[in-house]
Amino acid sequence: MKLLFKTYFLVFVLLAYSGVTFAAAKCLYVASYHQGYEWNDGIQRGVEKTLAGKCKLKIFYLDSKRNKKKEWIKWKAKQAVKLINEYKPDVVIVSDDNASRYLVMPYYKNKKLPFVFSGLNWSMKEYGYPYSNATGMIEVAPIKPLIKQLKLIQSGISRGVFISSDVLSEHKDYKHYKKVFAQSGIRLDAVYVVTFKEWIEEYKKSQQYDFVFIGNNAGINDWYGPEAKRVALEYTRKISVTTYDWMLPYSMLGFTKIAEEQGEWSAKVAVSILNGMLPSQIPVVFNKQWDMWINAAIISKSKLKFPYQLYKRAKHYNK
Amino acid sequence: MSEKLTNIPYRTTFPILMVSIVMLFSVLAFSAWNDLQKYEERLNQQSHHIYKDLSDNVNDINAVLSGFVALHNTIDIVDAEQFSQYAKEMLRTYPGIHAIKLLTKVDNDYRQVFINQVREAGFPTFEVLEGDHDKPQEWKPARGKPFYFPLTAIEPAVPEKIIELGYDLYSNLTYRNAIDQAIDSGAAVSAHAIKLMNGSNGYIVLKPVYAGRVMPLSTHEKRSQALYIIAVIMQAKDLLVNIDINEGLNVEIYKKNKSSELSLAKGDSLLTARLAPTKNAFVFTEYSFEKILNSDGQSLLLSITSSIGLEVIRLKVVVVIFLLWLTFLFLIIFIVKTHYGNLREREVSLNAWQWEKERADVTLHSLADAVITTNHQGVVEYMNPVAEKLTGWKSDDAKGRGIEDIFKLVNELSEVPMSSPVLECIERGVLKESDGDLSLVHKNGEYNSVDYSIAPMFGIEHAVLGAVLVFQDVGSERMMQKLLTYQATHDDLTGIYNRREFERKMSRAIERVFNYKDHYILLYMDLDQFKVVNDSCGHVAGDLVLRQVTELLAPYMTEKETFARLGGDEFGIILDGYSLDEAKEFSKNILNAVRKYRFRWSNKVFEIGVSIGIVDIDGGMQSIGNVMSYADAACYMAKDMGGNNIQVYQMDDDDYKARKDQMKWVQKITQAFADRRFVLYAQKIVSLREDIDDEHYEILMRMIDDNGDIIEPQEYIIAAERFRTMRDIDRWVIRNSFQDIQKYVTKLKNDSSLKKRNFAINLSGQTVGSNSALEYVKEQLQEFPEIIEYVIFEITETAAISNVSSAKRFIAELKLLGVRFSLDDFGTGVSSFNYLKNLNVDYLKIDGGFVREINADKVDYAMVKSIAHIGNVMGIKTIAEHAETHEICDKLKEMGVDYAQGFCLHEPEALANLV
Repeated sequence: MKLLFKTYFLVFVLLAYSGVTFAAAKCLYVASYHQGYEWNDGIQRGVEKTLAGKCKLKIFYLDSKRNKKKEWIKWKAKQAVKLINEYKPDVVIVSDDNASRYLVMPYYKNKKLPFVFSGLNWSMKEYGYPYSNATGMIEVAPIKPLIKQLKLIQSGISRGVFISSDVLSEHKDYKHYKKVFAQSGIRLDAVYVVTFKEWIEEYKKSQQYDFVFIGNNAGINDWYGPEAKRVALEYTRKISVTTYDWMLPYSMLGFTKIAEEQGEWSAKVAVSILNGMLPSQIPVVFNKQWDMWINAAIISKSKLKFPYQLYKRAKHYNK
Repeated sequence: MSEKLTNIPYRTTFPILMVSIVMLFSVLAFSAWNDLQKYEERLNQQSHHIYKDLSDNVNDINAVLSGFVALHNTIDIVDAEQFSQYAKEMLRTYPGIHAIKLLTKVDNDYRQVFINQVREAGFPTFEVLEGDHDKPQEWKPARGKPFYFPLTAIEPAVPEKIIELGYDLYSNLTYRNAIDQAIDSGAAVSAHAIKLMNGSNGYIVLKPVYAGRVMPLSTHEKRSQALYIIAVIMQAKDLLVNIDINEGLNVEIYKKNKSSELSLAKGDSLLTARLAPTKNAFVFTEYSFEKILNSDGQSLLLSITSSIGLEVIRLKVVVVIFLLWLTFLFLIIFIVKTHYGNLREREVSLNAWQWEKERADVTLHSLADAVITTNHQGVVEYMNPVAEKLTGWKSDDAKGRGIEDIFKLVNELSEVPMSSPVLECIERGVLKESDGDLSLVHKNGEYNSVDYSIAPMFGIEHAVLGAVLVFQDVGSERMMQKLLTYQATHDDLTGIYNRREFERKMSRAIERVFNYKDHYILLYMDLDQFKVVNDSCGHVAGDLVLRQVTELLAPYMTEKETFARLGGDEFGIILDGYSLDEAKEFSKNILNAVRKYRFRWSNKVFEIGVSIGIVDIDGGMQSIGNVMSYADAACYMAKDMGGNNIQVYQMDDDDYKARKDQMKWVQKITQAFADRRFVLYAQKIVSLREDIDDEHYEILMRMIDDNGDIIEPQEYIIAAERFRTMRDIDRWVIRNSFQDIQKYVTKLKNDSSLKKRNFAINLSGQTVGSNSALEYVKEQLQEFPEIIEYVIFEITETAAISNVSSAKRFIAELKLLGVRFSLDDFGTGVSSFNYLKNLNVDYLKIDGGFVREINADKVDYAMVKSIAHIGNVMGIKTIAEHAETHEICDKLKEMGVDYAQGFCLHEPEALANLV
């Protein structure tokens, strides 16, 4: 009887202790964009999956893709600060550039609250990282493998155009793309559009280049997928390539980043911080995972010949 | 057992015990040794399995190292991403491996370029660092060395592990020696045991990767061509992963120093251990297994120990051995005991026999039963005192004589001598017991009732040696039994058969008629004036009449006649073998005898007649009930004919049919009760005097037949009276009338304009003569006390006269409670006026037979007038029944009759309407 009582007491103490631990562990995920934006959702999936059972998670969206005005983003960032003050998280995960630009850098640089960033395009210098209280993962596109494949398809390739929505991350991406392409002797121009009509017109015009690098459509608010698909099938005569998996319906080739990798890594780092590690101890890393796709429907319409090896190794997009 | 053992001499038991104990322990020791051998064999097998599994785990490391070298040689240069893919796959394949690291050789001149490349390739904060390996927070950028071996990739690349990125392992002495050794040898080399970042034990195995496709030959060339070091880290506890280890084993793995000798040497470091939980304190022996595992660059010592306790001994085997030993011991003891026992037994049995014999003699002498034993020829050998007393023979005289002389039996009733059951018992060799009532003939010639039991005595091969006869005097028991039998079958008062015995004999007679066509006749007799005697002289006189009549008829009875009193003044005689004519003749003789008989009591002389019903029993009369009912009917007919008569039952006679119809009425009445088809009516009795203004009603009963028609009571009352169901009818009427009267009384209390009404309820003679009915009426009155002053009971003159004493008592007791009585049908009896003095009634109801014709018949007129006069004189109010016309009413008024009742005055209506 005594032993039974002791056992119950021990179980009670352990449960109470674990309850306190779990109750104390609070995580906040601040997304730069909105729910429903595929890249954003991918990171969120990774975060949620990895943190499940490890801390209590709250999510806040800056929604800066649909509302690009600085005032809006700043206001949303203040909202996030207010939430942090009220919720008092043990660690904050932020995704994509705007969260670092408008929230971490102005309010929490080298402060006590640990931050884990993810989805920062190409570099972290603009935001002054690394901070003593921040670490994370930088998002890079697999441009080198992309260039390698382009050269295998068309050996004399020298000129391409980058068509994208007119948003910050795309500008930032282009800057790096241009540099890497240039290292391979390829000139990459850029065209930014705001409306879907502009995109169609620019796409038609892009056929004068050796290849078309299709950027993000997020930010083109009147985007209409079926029409874009029709346009891609009808007017594509040159190699088209993208790094976003949601742009695969309109591109022959895809060298896609994995959004979940960003979320999973940042969540793992957050757990390590909860377990006692300091953010400054954990090196900032680039994402490593990417995937290779071909869209056979557009390729066959364009009458371009792709290497057999590429057909064999790449995943086939057929939705 | 212990008692038996003591019988065996100590000098015999001691050696036996000693030898058997030595044998037991020898066998147990052998069994234990055998179990131990087998257990150690099993441990050896398990140890070799563990060694093999451990080898597999260690060899996994070599597979990883060699695989990477092959990969590098195949694709010329392995970048961080390719390393990552390869390492992830290896980690998935070999779960015992803790981590895989890639160290890249960086010349000092090339250091910054290398750092920039790594930063661009994915680690933007990369730096080549040095310092104490266990204190990462104190690491500083490495400077001034000719070359470095920083960690450039690691899998799994989890946050806890990647903090080591950039750390120059060559700056650490432990690793430096191992790296140099690996590069110089070109083979896998393991460093000393290390503490991993998570604090657990581990060790690292390093293998160099050189530039070019062919391994450099010289040491110098190897050092200059070294590009990478691939390192596999084993977490020591993972060495035992996926290895099944028996719970009783202590498994320890040491990082072996250079000494190749088996067994632990100084400096060997414990990598990991899995220790068995502490078991029982008793250790049988220690098991030990040690073996060095040399794999490419790795030297480990596997040490397995186990404490072998008693648990290896199979308990079941021990138990079986012990049981076998016990069995053996018992067997030996049994044999010895048998040997010694036989000798002793002879001596003991002789003494015991003597003692038993004495005891048997004493026992037999003490018995209450008589005992005689004989030899196989029936010659007496022994008699106990009781046997001497019952037979009259002295034991000494009887010995040597045949049992048939001593134990003589006769049939108790016939006194016919019986053959000797003792000789029969000896001859047949079976048990015999007395059968029937037997008497033992005493030596002096007297008879004693006895019961006996004789058992044969058997010797070897079932030969009869003699017999034991046990017998006892059962004279008093048999007498008592006869007395009880007599009482059960005879009438206490008259001494002749009672009804139960009579019916038993009747039943046998009916069976014989049915089965053997024998001839029997039943006489059913009812004394005619018995009730008069009983009522006028009391029960004592009545009983005397019955005894005298029985004595009167007794001389007529022989074996062919069975004479019984059936109850009250009813007698029955079964005539065996009589023809109907002979039966009639017999009946006449009986009739004449009774007719001539005079009963005298207190100067009074009564003539007692008898009515006799005769039934010639035939095969169609299947039951006693049938025969008795026919006889009863015939007797009733005889009585109906005025008594002192004989009537033979005729199956088809109209009278009998009518009688049968009456019986049917009984069934109808019973059914009507069950179906609640009786209703109460009431007829007004009108006052003929102006000074009397209260209202009288006579409550009448009606039965509703199956068709819903009303049936007048005269149709079923006779049957009900004859078959004694009037009692139930009266009770129903009383109960329901009282309930209705209560309703009226309640209404009367609330309505002063209502007139007081009296309700007359008819009671049958059966009710008036019954004590239980009197009690019932009292109970009902107790329940409805308010109605007493409104109730009048009507009793017919016939009913009252037939049981005057009961009627007097009935009336008297209820009058005390306030109930009034009316004498119904007054004038029909011969001695009506005589009885009137004895019956304290309030009303006289003049029989309608006189009233109906008072205008035409002078006698009737005179009768009614005299009754009215008598009533007036006695203060009893008179009621004239059947006053069917107004003329009659006028005449009645004129004659001084107080009330009249008739259809012209009021036709009966439902009582419910009047209350």
